[in-house]
Amino acid sequence: MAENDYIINVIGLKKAFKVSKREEGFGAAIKSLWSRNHETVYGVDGIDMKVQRGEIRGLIGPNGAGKSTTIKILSGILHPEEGQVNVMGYVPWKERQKYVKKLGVVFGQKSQLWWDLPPIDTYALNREMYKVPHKRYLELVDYFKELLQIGDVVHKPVRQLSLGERMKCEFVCAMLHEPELVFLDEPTIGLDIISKENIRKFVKQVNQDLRTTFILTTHDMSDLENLCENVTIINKGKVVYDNGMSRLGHYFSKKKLIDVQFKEPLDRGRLDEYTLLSSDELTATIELDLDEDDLRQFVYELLGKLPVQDINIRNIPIEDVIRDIYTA
Amino acid sequence: MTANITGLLKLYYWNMKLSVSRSMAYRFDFVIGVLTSILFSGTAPFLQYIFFTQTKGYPGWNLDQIMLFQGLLLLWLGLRQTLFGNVMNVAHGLVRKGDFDRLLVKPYPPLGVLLCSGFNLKGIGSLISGCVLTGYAFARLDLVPGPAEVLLALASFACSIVLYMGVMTLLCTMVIMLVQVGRLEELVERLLGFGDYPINIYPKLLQKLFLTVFPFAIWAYVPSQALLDRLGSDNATAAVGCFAVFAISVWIWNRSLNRYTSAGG
Repeated sequence: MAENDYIINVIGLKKAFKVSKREEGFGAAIKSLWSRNHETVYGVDGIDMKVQRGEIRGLIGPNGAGKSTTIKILSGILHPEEGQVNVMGYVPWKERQKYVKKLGVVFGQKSQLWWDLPPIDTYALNREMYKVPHKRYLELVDYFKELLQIGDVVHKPVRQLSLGERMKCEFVCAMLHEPELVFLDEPTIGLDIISKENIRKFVKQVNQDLRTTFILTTHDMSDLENLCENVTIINKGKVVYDNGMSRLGHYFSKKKLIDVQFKEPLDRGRLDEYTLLSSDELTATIELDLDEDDLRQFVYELLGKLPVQDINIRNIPIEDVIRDIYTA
Repeated sequence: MTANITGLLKLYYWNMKLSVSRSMAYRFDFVIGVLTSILFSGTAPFLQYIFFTQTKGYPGWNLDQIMLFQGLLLLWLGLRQTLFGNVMNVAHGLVRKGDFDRLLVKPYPPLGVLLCSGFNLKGIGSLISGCVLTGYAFARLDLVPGPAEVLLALASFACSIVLYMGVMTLLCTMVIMLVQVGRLEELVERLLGFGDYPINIYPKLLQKLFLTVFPFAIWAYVPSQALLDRLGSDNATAAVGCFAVFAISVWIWNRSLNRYTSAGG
């Protein structure tokens, strides 16, 4: 793939923070008035990352992993200590003002809408900020209103909107200047299942229609499964996984989970020989390592030994894979 | 640079429109706010009147001249409250909610966006009182200033705006970088209060300071001297001081911004 097919190209990115440290107790608190110990901590410690134009990329990691710091550097908010960053041909923190004209940001927990006014007023302000031609602005507002079904909503004061309606309006705000790249920071946090679905549909549609690249940070695995082809997992400031979502599903391909339902209540002692993830009198979930056991043989023996009414074989859930990567 | 300033002026205008719309959404609060502001802004000239009539007053100022000074002071206080009255609220709000990053993803200098969000309609009360009192003082003094005097007075108001933007910039830098600045704002307010009196009541050293390093004389003293046609050449240093304070504050802001580390998240 040619280098200019990448909208984001990051090499060896490092960002250090000076963190003050203090001993426990009142004396130490007083001492800290004139003398403080500091420690240098790398929030981002040598990240390499490439994102293709038009991609919806998941960027995930446990709390404190460095994903927000990475996003902030990519947005031009923070200056890194080391590394090269090229986003849409810009070095974000050096050419911030020009660069952010092509950038959209949605913070799931923060609002850029004026609280006491209808969203349409904030849209007008954004039109002015980003110098969107009036005709194009009207076309886009209509397009987004229809896509998100918020025809009436944009005329009500923000304080009267539900969280789902507000998030839809936030998206419009971030998209009105037709950014090539949009950072979505936990966009579905706190939303009900219908609102989440609507937001995901919207992201997919805009991605298709306008070829907008999205970088999505989330803790909701269904966001990733529904939207992203590729995912980058960051932990302790380093990239620990950077590949397709489907490959993530095969991460534990040598392991299977077998859900068993019994015909009658079962004495727990009869399950001692199995690796149990959960069990009660009538059900059990057994983990099977295919390096040690043959699946067909195992199931055959299970059916012979136990009063099985129903059986279901499945892969390790993606949440468990990610949890395993986080804790590695 | 020019494009930036034009863009920021337009942004200010748009923010102002939204701010007015918001005030109209809470009409009762707005009306009460303006009435209270008119009422309270009248107390300072009244106190000055009592002070002036019950004591020897200020050297070199008669009652009508001091009324002009008070009128211009109220006008300035109203103007700064109207233009930038909301800046510190916005800065505190951004810090409290960890939202400062939002300013950095706007296609403008973040300081410009912050200052452009300062419009506060509640300052209109002082502005009205100031106009009325100044007009009254003009009538009492039978004052007909020439174009040069009017221009000088307007120029000093323009310098006052520059100086006040500098002060706001310094305060915002402290709020955003240090988060908790406690009573520092109060201290700055007290310092600014030195400009609320004719500077010839202060010792010589302070007079020099208020015309150079801390040129607070520019708010009311310089324009009233201009309108009374007794502006000395030494007052020009106050104008230079205003731009110097602003330039230094912007330099400090930019340096702090480069070291900005944001918040966790």
